[in-house]
This record gives sequence, structure tokens and C-alpha cells, in this order.
Amino acid sequence: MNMIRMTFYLVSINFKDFGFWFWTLCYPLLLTGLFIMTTANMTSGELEDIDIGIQKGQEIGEVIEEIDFINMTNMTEEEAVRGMKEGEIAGYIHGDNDLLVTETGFNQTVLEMVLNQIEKINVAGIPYENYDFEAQFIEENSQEAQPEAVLFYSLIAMIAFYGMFSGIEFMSSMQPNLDPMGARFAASPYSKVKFLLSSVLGALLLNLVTNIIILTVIINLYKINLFTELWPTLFLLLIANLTGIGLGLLIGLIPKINAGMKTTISVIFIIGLSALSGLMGPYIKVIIVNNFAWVNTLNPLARLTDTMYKINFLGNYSDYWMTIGTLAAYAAIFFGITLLSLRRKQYDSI
Amino acid sequence: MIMMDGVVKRYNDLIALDHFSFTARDGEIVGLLGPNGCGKTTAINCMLSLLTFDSGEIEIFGEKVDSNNNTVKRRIGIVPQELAIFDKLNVYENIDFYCGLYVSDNKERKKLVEEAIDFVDLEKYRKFTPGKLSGGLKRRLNIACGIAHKPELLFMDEPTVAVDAQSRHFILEGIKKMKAKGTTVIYTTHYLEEAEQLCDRMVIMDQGRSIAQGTVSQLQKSISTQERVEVGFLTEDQDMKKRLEELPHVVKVSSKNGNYLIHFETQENNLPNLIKFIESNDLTYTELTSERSTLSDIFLELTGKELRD
Repeated sequence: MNMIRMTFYLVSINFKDFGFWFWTLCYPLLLTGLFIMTTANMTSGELEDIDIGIQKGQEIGEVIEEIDFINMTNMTEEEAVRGMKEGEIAGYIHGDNDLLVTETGFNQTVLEMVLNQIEKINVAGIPYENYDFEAQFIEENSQEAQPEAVLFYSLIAMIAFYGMFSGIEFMSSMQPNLDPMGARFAASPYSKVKFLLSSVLGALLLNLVTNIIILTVIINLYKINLFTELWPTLFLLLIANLTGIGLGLLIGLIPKINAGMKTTISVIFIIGLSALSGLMGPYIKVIIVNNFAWVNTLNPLARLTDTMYKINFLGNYSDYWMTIGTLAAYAAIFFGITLLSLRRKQYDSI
Repeated sequence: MIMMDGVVKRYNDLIALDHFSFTARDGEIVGLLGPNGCGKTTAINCMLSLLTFDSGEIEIFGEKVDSNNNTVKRRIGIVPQELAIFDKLNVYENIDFYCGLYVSDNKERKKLVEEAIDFVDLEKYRKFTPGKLSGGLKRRLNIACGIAHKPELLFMDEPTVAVDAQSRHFILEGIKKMKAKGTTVIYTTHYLEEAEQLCDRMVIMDQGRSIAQGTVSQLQKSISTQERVEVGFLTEDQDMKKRLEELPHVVKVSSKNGNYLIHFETQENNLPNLIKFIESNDLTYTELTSERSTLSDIFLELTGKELRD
């Protein structure tokens, strides 16, 4: 059987599976609807300048003063808390450039990012005047700005990784020690590599279709234009899908655990990564970025979320190719390990 | 066709195959018989080169088993014990999928799939998914997936487990037809009546060892009891058991439901001798039945346990 026919069958198996459509299409659309209901002001209001308070004598004040979209006022902590309660300021910088906030939101997220960036610039020894904060965080984009956008990008990142479930299923069904179908495959002369490629292709096709349907619904039905950079976003999603499928293959390799248990582990894993990347609200993401930056760097969903946010919302392509490269590297590692393990032909126990 | 010589397979401390040897010739149906866990499936998996083994030799079609030998793999079919079919594909698609693992030519594959559907008589159900099929029909589909590419050597691992009588009969007749066409079948079962009906030769396994091999009649000859006669008398006699033991070829006499169960070491003249004894002693019998030893007796005597233990 040629690879096209094999791919057709593998697509057909998933296509007829209600569970597949529910989890990859209905569930994300339901979540999207829920997000829209809870973030009704998503498309209202242009971004305004951010008012903040700052402790008198803070060195960082000199830098912030140069940033056009931040209005800074010297005040005490007591005044700042009162100001935040009354909604006059978004945050207060004090002590060792610490940011005090009483609520989470887009302005607070931007402030966090600005402070982090200033710290990095400081460490790198780059003159502040050479750095364009507007370009990094706000301008070059007429997009209306709201923090809730992170929810949507995080959701899209999550579904882009749903290919992992197809990967798990494929890997489990291929191994004679996990599935009786595996005995049939292993005893047959059919090339495992061809079978793997067909499976990856099938999973990729189906997942991309569901991703595109969801994007179409968000853009055309819900009228939320979060994807101004559509083609770069789709390319990003294509690579993310491959990474997700690769991750599924890797999880599928775990011996002596059936596919159902692996899927459960993966659901927990992917929800965990999504939560850390902002699916449960920007607040968790801010904590992670500030305290465990390496988690954000390693978390492929967080990278994907951040990059989609930056390219579509801020028009910032600074880490686009780095994210593509990171996701592709993850995928290459996952596929490499899978191919190596597929070379194994015999088992010690079945 | 198959030569398995002194194969040892260990799972840590458990010896799954203990110097297991057997041969199968072209066109034979060879039954691997034994209770659950005796090593039948392990033996098959070693022959299919799915499992490594610790020592011994296995040759199929005159070549040592090798998981990379696709030429040999192409000539082999497998019907696993558990159903290995896709729930989301219909009957035709399932058979086509598995046949496609062996046959790349579309035209040839289509013909083979049609023949397989016809062979297992699933024509009426070709568009049905497995969820709409009964247990017996699913088993037939499982078989069709394994035989569609017309293998010369077919491994069938308990293909009739949990199958109704009608489907079982259908499956057994199908296997006979395959044998008639020259297919060699290695058939594992723990249903003795199936093995007696189907197999040219049998290998009786216990605890990973081959404890006896041969045709049913050869195996029968290997045990002490060849015939059992149950007889009941109208009147009680204290010495009757002792007197029955003195009859020619009697191995032992035991009691069964108030009757005597006489075990004979041959199958010749036992009933005439017993009737002569009854007449000469002016006895009246209430029951008299004779039964030749079965595979079950053979298994019981060789292993000391019932096959379904």
C-alpha cells in the first residue's frame, strides 16, 4: 500500500472519531465562546497611556521617563495603593525596582515586560536611548489592545499541540507489547518509517484543518481580529503542530502504559503548560515570567503564545524565528528519538 | 516449513519456554495445546520474531528467523488472540488496510480483499463497522485481516475464543479449506475437541515445555488407559472390584456414581470379555457404556491436570 492510501486510512480513522472532533474543534470553540462572554470589551477602546506611581529617588525613573506611553508620578506607597484602588494608576515601582500591583490586566502585564526589559538592557550594557520601547510593546500596530488576547493566543497554542494525541495513538498501536495491532504491523513487511510518515502527515492535515476552522470562526463569526499576521501565524502553527505530534510520539514510546493512560497524562500535561502560558489568565503568566523565566523559555506553548501575541498584537517579530527554531528543534528531537526507537524490531516481553 | 529447536525464553525468573522444540511440515495443521500461560503465545511470538529468545534455534522456510527478513514476513499471516481491527473502519476497509501491509498493487489487493470477504462470508456486512458486528463476526473479520494476502504459513492464536457455536464451526471449516489449498497452519487452542477435529498433529505444552507430540492416535498410545468402560450391577458384591481387576488388560477399577469404571490398557476385546464375565457369573447389569480415551484423558495423564486449569 502506498503512503497516500495509508495516510487516507489514518485520516479516515480520526475523521470518524467523535472524540477527535469534540476535543480538537468543539471544545476549543466552546472555550472561545466562553472567553468572549467573559471578555466582552475585547474589541473596545484604543490603548491609552499607562499611569504609574514611582517611589521618589528610583534610578529607573530616568529610563521610564523616556518612555512615551508611560506617565510617571512620584508618590509614597500609601498614596500609590490608594491610587490603584481608585484606578488612577496601574502600578507602583518601589524598592529594588519592584512592581506593586493590586490587580492584573494588560497594563500591568506591559509594565512587567517593560521592567524586565530594562533589567535585561541594563545587564547587557545597551544604552537605554538606543532602545525603542514603543516598537517592542505598543506601536507599529493599529490593533486594539486588551490583556485578554493572551487567553486566545494561549488557546490557539494549546490546540496546535493537540496533534500529540494522534502521535500517542499511532505509537501505541505500532508496538506489539502495547496493542495487538502492533503485532500485526511488526509481523508485516511494511516499512515502519513509511507508516510513521503517513501517520504524521495524516495527523498534521487534520489538526491544521481544525486550527484553521477555529481561526476562521474567531475572525469571521466572533469578529475578533487577533490574527492580523495570518500567514506568519499559520506557519507558526504548522511547526507547532509538528512539535505536538512529535511530543505525542515520544509519550507513546513510554512502555507498559496503555494509550488511554498516556492520553490522560498528556491532557494534564498540556493543560498545565497552557495554564503557565496564560490560558487561565495573565496573572499566572506574570508570576512565571518574573520568578521562573526559564519555565517560560522552555515551555513551547508559552513561546508560541508570546510570539503569536507579539506578531499579531504588537507587530513585533523579534523572536519569531527564534520560536520557529525552538519548536522545530523540539520536533527534531522528538522525531529523532522516535525513529531511533522504531529501529527496534524485537521485544523482551509482549 | 518450521523448525524450532531447544528454544528457551525467560522473563526474569519465569521460564516461558523451556527447551521447546517442534516442527511443522508443508500443508500441515499443527495444534499447540496447553492451558493458559503454558507458553503457546510466547512460542508464536518467537516464531514471528516479535520476541527475543535466550537460546535455541528457529527456522522458517529454511531460514533463521530474522525481524529484517521481509521476504519471509511476506509469506506469513497472523491472526492474533485479541481482536486487532480498527473500530472506525468498515469490514472492507479493515481487510484492505491489513492486506495493504503486504500487497502494494491496488488491483491485486482489491481482488484479494474480495476473496477474503467471500471466504469469511462477510459480504452482507462489508460496509459495517466492527461495532455493528456480533462477537463471532468480529472474529471472522479478525481472521480475514490475517489471511487476505494468502500467506503460505498462518499463525492462529486461539481464534475461536468467545465465539458462538455457529461461528466456530464456520471458522474451523474455513481453516480446513485453507489447508486444502496448501496453507500450513499453526493453531493454538485450549479446546481439545477443536484440536481433535482440525489438527494433523499436536504439540502438548505445559510450563513452557513440549510434553508430547504426534497425531491423536499416536498420543493415545502414549498413555496407559486406552478405553474406559462404566458398568453397574443390579446386585451388590463385596468382591466385585477385585474380580473385575482380574479381567484381561485392566489397568485399574474405580467407583463412579455407584458404578464401576474400568480402565483398559488396550482397545481390543474389552467389551466382549466383560460381557462373557457377566454371563458366566450370572450377573445382571443396569448400565454399560464404553468410551475410548480422548485428548482430554491424554492431557490429564501427561500433565496431571485438566486442560482448562
